Amino acid sequence: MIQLENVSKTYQTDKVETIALRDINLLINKGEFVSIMGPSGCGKSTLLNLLGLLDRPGEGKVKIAGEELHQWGDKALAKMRNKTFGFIFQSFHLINDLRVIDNVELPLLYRKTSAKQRRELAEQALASVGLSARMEHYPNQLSGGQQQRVAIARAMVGQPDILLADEPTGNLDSHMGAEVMDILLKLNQQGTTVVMVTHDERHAKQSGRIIRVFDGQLVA
Amino acid sequence: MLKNYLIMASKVYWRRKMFTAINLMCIVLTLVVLLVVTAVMEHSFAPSGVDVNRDRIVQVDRYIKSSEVKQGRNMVMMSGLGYKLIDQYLKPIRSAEKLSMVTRSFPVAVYLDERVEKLTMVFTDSVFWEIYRYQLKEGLFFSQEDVSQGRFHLILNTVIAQKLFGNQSAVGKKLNVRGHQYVITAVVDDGRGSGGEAKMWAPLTTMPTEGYSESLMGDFHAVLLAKSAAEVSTLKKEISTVGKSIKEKDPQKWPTTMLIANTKFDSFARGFSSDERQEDSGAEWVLGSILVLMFVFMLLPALNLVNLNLGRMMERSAEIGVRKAFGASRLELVSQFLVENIVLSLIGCLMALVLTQGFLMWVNQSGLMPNLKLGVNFSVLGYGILITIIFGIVSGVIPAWRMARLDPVFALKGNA
Repeated sequence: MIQLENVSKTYQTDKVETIALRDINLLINKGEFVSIMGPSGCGKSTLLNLLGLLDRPGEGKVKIAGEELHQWGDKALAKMRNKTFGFIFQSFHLINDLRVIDNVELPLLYRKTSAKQRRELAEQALASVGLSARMEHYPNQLSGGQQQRVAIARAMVGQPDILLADEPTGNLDSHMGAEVMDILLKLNQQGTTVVMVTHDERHAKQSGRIIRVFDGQLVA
Repeated sequence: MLKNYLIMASKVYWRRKMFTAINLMCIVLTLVVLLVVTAVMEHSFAPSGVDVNRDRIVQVDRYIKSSEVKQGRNMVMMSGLGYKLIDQYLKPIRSAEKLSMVTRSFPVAVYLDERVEKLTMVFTDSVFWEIYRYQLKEGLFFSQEDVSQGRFHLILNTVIAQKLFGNQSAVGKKLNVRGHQYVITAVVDDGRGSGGEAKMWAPLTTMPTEGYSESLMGDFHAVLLAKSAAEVSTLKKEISTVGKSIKEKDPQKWPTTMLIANTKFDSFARGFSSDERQEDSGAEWVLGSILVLMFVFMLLPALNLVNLNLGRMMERSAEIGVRKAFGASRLELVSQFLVENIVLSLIGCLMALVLTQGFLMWVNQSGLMPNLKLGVNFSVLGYGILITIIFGIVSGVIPAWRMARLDPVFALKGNA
């Protein structure tokens, strides 16, 4: 499904060059639930960003469903992200100016969907995370756990093939973290490929495979 | 998609009420002041009413002669124009389509039915009524023949007519002015309403002073009408040349002569000059200063707006990242911010237009100035809208474009 071939990523800041990832080879198959683990600053999030086309590799190739994306332009990448991926961020990244329902509708704005259909799909997604009653609220009127559930609803509303979650339970207490994990596991059981960055060994063990990163390299 | 952008924009405005209010206030205040100032300037300097030919009129109202400089000092004499000077030097000017001679206003007392009314009287010729478009309420303007025959005809403005005769017709009635019996031949509306000056006009040949036609200096000024507004500067140059060629009776005593020619704006500009003997009115300098002041006035809130928008865009960097992550292309993002900024600018412009119209209507009806008719200049409004939109684009859309160019991960971190 997603394949990284000899991927490296270096960040240049002023005169300092930081190697974030080094020669990564990775294959994630359709329907897998993969956890990425490792200490802070080891390159986990960079790896997730490369998998989700949020960043470009310095060297190497990223392939989605066999297609190499190295030369793709902004519009084609945007379309690919919209169609294939759903993102869940540690700090939720909800748009505070928009109501919950509008936040969830967001991915559908960038594809041909009528307003009525958008609304229906967003309502369904919110119902599936148990937030039907909060549709008209604004994100800052919700708790952290509720905000993350809104973020999950937004990530799944477009029925993407792959869900990428960057420490989705990182800002939540254990109870809410468990709730979020339940939702991700359920989505995976329904056929969605899930790739999750986590520090939590317990949550990682619930996934099908654990990838460990250390100093920008895969270690297991 | 445009509908989505508009809905999105309305939601953002509503959620960010303070930002929206400050943004609108900057736009509205700037445009209202700009439109009111231009309306006042237009009323003062653009052709209208009696002064329908204002953009073609050049008034020569000062004759200056100076002696030779001896030991660093010289004598300068400045006065109005004499009949002879206008007749001999200004009448032959080719670039003038018409020329009229007009005296200054003389205060006069008029006796009627044991009442004494203090009025002002002006002596002029028949061309005066061709250059200035006074509205004839009754009777006829005096003709060239009336002037050359020295007929004691009198034209009153409506203020005097009302004062002296109430609602009765004034034409045909007689008035004793300075010992002469004048016959009223017309009543005109000078467009200044009832609060205007009580004024009357008589043929210049009925002037009480003898020998007025023999002097270069006098109580006259000349009103010259250029063939077109574009030829005003040519006319002024010709007047300047003529002014230098005036021959005094004693040319050795007065070797230097000069005429001061003014358009309406020149007269205004001379108010800022300390030396009224300068041929150049300084109009260009005054106009330039007004434009610079207006530009600075617009620039300050505009810079504030740019600053506000830039800060706001930095705040929205994560939003751009999220939108990119969920499939927004660069073009879609920029279009969204473009619509947000343009719609806000247009709302501001519309509010400014409504407020300005309301304010000008209030000023027009308040009677602050008689017969005041201020109106919005729509080309200035157009430029104002254009500048507002440009500032909106520069401050809102360009940062959005810069952020949209980055890979989503950088926008999510706010690293624009």
